[in-house]
Amino acid sequence: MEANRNPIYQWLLDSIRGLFLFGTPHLGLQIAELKAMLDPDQGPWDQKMNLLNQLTEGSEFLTNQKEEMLHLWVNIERAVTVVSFYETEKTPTIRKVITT
Amino acid sequence: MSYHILSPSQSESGEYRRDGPGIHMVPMHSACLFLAGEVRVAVKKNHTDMVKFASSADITYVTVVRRMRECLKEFSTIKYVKDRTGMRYTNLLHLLIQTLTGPCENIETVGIKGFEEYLQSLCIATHQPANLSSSSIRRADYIQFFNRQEFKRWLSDGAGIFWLSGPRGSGKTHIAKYLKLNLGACDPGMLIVEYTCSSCLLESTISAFCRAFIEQLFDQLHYSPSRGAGLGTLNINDIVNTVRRVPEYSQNRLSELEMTLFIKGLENAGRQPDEQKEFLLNILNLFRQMVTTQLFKTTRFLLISQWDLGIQTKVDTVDLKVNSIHFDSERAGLFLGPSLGCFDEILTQLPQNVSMRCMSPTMMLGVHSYRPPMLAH
Repeated sequence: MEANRNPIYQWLLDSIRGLFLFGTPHLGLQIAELKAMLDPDQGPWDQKMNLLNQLTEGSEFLTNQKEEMLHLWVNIERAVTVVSFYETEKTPTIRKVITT
Repeated sequence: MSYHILSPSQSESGEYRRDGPGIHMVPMHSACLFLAGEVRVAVKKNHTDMVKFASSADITYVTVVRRMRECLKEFSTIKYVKDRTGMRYTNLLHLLIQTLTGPCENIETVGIKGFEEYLQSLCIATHQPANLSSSSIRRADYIQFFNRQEFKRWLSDGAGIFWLSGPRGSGKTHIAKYLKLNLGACDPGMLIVEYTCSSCLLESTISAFCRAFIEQLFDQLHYSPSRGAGLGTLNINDIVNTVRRVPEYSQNRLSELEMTLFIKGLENAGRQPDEQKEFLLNILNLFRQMVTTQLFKTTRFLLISQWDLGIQTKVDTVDLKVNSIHFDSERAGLFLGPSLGCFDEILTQLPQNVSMRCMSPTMMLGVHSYRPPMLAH
């Protein structure tokens, strides 16, 4: 998408023949348990929370990104294969175990 | 911001473990774009494990490999070639480079985009309606073709590219075959290599050229059976050794570094049209200088290439498929080395509906002689 905006990367865009997407959260993912992991005392908390919020379901960032992706797709004239892999099993969430 | 900062990490008050209640991290409706033609693959694993393949037999891994091959199959249809020693080469350009320069390592895949575009820019499309079937072409017509001033001038210039284009069935192939048969028989010193570029993608084009070039020029030479000089009995190694004994070659031989830079430049050529021309010029002159001038100093040399470059400005999948089958759909090209001496006796005809244009070296290539860019000493 950056290549689409910036002409100096046009050659890169033109070279793409396929996209392989592995569990890419175009419409967001479950972040509740990841949020719970964030420790305000550790590292750049705001930055981390901001990233998580971008990845949450219904995020405006993801919606815009997907819209842009679809727009880009429509305008590509040659054949580009898109393969989307999606998981069917549940992922165990992360929890904190108190050790003594 | 990188994602690794979200990895589970130990905190002061305990540690994180991935053993909480299971959830669908990225459900299907989020993981798929639902584009037309999109391939959607269910992976019977969770979000963490879906890209951790247990072995090369993993069903998802097999799917990934198969789909990637499908994406790449247009790039090259030739699996490998073998040289005289039985050594296999998966990249025909590598074989050619090795033949010319000796062992060469770390050469990366050649980019195709710029080269293809430049080849397209070389083609002069002047379509005229076909009103002659190829079977109706007579020898007198061939003679008429070769007596045309622009063709004669091109022959006497001794370099450059002559593009012969015309609609299907207009006689381009007949002219090429007539040349191949008659020039070879008439002039024993003439070495003729014919090859077909059967795809609009560069790698296939280079592969086709290298394969035909090596097979016909360095190995079998059966297209010119009447030629003397005994070159037909030489193998590749003999020829390479011959090249290396030529003084000009010893002084000016292309180094491995230069070849690598050359290929790198080709890879990047798509961004700058002037450089594209420079690099194609380098390719053409590389062959001309390395082989024609230095190896076969006394041999007249003609390359006949059947091009199909997918000239349409908008190439869709259907066109690509059609073009890959109909290799001679639009144009034939004649590549000429040193000047010919005997064409007046043989030459030939141009059916009225075949358009053609002579490109002199100065018009087409910009310069008359090629000097490798890194050899200023």
